[in-house]
Amino acid sequence: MIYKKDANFPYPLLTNTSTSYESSNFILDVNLHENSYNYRFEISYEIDSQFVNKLIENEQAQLVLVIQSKDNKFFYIKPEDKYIEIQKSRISISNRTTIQLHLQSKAEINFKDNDDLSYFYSQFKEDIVVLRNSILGFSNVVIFEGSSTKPLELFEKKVNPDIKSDIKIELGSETIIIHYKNEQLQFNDSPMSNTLNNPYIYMGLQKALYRFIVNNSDDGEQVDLEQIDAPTDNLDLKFYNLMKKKMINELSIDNIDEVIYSISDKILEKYAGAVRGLSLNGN
Amino acid sequence: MEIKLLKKGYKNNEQFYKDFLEDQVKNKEEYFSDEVAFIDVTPDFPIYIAQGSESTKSELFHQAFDAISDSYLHTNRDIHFDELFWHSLLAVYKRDYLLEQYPQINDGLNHFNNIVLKDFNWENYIYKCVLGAQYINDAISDVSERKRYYSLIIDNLDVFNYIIKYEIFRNDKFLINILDIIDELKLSKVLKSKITGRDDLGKDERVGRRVIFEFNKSYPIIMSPMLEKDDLKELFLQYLVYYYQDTKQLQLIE
Amino acid sequence: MSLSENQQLWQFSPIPNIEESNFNKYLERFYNMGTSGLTRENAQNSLDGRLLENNDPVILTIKTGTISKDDIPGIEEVKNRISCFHGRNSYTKETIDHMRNKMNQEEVAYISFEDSNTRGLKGAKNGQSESKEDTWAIYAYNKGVHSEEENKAFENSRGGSHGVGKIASNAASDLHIMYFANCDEDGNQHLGGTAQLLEHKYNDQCYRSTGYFADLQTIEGNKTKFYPFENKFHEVFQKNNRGLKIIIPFLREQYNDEKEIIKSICDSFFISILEKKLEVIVNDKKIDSKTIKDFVSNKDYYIQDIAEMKNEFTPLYINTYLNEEPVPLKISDGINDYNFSLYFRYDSAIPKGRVAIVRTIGMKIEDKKIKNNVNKPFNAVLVAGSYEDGYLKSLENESHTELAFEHIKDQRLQKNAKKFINNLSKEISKIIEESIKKNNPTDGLMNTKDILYVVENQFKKDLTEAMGTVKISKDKSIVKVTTDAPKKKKKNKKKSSDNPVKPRNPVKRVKPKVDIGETNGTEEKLDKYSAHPDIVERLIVGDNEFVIFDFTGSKEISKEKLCNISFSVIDGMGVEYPDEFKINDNYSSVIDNTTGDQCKIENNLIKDIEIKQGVAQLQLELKNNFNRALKFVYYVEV
Repeated sequence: MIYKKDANFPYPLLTNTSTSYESSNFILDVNLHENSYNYRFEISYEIDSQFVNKLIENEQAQLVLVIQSKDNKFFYIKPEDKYIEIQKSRISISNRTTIQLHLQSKAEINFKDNDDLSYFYSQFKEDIVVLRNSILGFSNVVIFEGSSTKPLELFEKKVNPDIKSDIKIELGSETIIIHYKNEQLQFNDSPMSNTLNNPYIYMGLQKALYRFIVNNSDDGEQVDLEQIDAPTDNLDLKFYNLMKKKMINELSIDNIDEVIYSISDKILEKYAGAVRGLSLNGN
Repeated sequence: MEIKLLKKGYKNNEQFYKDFLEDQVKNKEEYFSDEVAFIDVTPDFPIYIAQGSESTKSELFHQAFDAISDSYLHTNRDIHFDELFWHSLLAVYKRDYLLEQYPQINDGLNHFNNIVLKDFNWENYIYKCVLGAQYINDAISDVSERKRYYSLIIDNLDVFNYIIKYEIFRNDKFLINILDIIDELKLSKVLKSKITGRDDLGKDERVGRRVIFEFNKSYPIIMSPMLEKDDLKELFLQYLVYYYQDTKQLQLIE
Repeated sequence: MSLSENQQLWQFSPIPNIEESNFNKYLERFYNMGTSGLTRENAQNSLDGRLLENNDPVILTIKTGTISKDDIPGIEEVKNRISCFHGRNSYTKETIDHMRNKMNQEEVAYISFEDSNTRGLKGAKNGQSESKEDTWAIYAYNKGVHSEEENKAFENSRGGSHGVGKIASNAASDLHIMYFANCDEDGNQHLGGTAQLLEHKYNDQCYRSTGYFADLQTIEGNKTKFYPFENKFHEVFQKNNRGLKIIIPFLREQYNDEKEIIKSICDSFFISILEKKLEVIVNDKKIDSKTIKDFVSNKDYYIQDIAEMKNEFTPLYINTYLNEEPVPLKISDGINDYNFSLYFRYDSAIPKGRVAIVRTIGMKIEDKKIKNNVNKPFNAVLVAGSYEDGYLKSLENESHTELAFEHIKDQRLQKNAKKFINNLSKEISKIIEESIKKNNPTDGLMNTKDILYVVENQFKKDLTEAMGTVKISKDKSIVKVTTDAPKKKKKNKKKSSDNPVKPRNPVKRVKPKVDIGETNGTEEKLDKYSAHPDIVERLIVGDNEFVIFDFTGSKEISKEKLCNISFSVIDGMGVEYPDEFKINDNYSSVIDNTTGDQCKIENNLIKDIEIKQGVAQLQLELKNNFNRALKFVYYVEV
């Protein structure tokens, strides 16, 4: 089973987010291939700690690849293993598949030679003993999201004369759908049509981010993007990725507008410029 | 055969329910997407096993396990682990069988939802049987052994439910190890028993569920799904003691 | 024929009295059309004169320069005539003044248009002739009539259909004079010319306004006939190879603009040039199928920013013509169908939509504005076939600048013409609308030219970078997301100050749950914060658990003296259970390591832990049944 949540463990763990190790990198990358019968997961990983690498070498610790889709599969990985294969009848990737590398102790491990620990744990390292069959660290998570049919689209538009308003913004399963009561509302007869639609885009972003907060927060007001798992909703996942890319840590009702400004490219400024241009040209 | 897959929007749909009762679903193009699934045969099996005596239910479960093992498991998971496939199969191709077996479907949309269009998760009987059958089939090759394990699942359904409820324990090795431990230590009854003296846990808390939950809380420090049976047994007993202190029973175990 | 000393070179026909006191009305019209009118007319005439037997491009050489007035044949005669004009209205007076002002220059500006690979005029030797084949006679002596070709298809594609084109050259001269030097198939070289003056009285005789540069010979009694002079004049007036050369002395200053000449050639004849039917040399600059793009893409000649192309569209037309596939377009006048090829381009950057209406011969008639579509983002070139050329020609106004119906006399034909022009607009606007719809689909997903494209494209770029897609099979595409792996990569190795990530707040306020009925108001309400795992160090050694909280990064907590701590268990799936873990059941003692004092536990809360310099420390003694594999997040109340 994949584990991601930051928490305080009873002894130092090597993860990408914890501060127990001075330099804690446990990086996994996976590439997916398929043939008629199997899926092949090609793996590569990188561990920063010499101490931990030595445990793997000496077979005191064991890498375990966890592949979770509808259920969990565990594979013991030797350092020389480059890939694992799974029959298609035993794994489905049409939904979300999450992959992580865990490191499990094969024997009782004393940390007295572990020079990679952060200051606090270094003081106690003589006394730190990790029992057999316990986790020593876990990597980042690689997600393959197969249920997405429009992986890169964020917006759709529809003309729908039946809506009870001029514009209706619907949050679809993967995209924001802007419904226009008629084509004129799209400014499609104007050379600036793409910019003139920006206010609708803005409205769509606002609505989607608001729902993101509702879907992904405990209190309905703010989301700590470093704490939550990648959302399962495909539209939320896109926003999650966009925000992560722009290094946004927190989304809240208070900062929605700042977040829109960060993840989009000056859409209102461009809109204002277009309107000003049109009014000057007397078009 | 080819199974035409339903299009989004069939759930909680009065008209769809009506059309199901009047045998009209298959005639209405608007219910279907363009997609299809292929499967050789689709024998009938019990899909809803909530009623009847323990022995009746046990019999129905065995029927379901057998049918799924024989005819469904070899398909890709994109089929046999797909809610849409099962809902399409049931609502479009199994109408007569379902109405005959579960006449309460006629009584209202909620029955239809609960029996035919039940969400495909750990509470769904097909899901339970698919997962159970798959784990047992993959790990055990001997047919009579498989039957024995099916029986163990059926006898320890409460624990089984809790195992597949937590994603982390949806794993063949863990399931079989737990079933073995229960069987070897004759814990079936103990695990089903209510916990006493722990009002904080709620009125209907069972020992088995709490043991599984303790494994859950300990993960990933304790990577229980990967443990060998003996290592797992040690922990199992440790956790059992947290919730079950009847020393007489425990002495029997030791 | 040789010139004698006192021979009269300009012939004006005597008339009994002066009836018309104005200049020819076409002069002003062409004058208003400036360089482009002049260039168009002459280039068009050259194209009309192309050799039918081969496909070599017509070469038109345009030269500007100066010439001594003494080298302009018969110029003193023209001056004498002008000297005796009487202006009878202010406009005429003004023109006469202008002529007199300019006629005494010593160095005179001129322009010449010389074509080759053309036929030149025929039958010059016959002088004024009734024969239809003697094109010299028609060109030289009949104004407002053009000779009709015997080849109908060729006639249809000819440019000038109003026969007034020559006057464009007169209009370009301050003195309204122009010469034409001809060399025919057999190498006969002659010079003719016309002057568009006023009806005037000269030596007590009234004369017509039009003068001909010709010899007047008497034939059969008192009948006279014009004959051209053999060309032995100054080299500017020479035409040595087959073709025609137009020479306009006293070129008006505003016509003397090389850049404008080049532009009007490109504007009107780009198709002829691209199709290698015409090459034009303007002084030292050659415009042919290869070089035309250099002129059109040169910002000294044309505006290059598409968004600013609001008056001149030639760069767009050329682009459209070269890059778009033509679509057939059928337009009816109610009786006949006419077939055209339409080159159409949609580009949202184009501010004004225009259709170049171009005839086979290659002259653009019009930058057609399509009703209701003048500001649509498109550009188009409509090219006629040979049959359609004839019809288009009949619709052209006299200055070849517009398709019109008003000039058509026949009522029925006028009605058809009107219908045709309307249908033309209608058919093209259909195509415009279709393409706008296609490029701005009102439904469905975004495509590249969509109204939301610009915005969508940016998101797509970011999403691609953030996720990456894996094409697993033909119809299966999988999105790959890698969480938080690279984030820490450089964090500790390099303390970079340019890292834009704001330091996170180590604690986060937890909204208090509203307890209904339980608050009795006696207890002070405390603020509850979750402590980020980064600021908590936890370790189990033997039967003791040490937990250290570092609140120094939190301004909310570091200044406090005391805090309360509670625990939440996290399960294997990351789910938090706030009430699951009971402190009293799991720890036999809890010691505040700052003070060494035993802590009080109330309501599953460790109370009053001292914060010293932002740090709180706990030492907890484990009970036997403590599950050592548990993990927590901590909450702090202050």
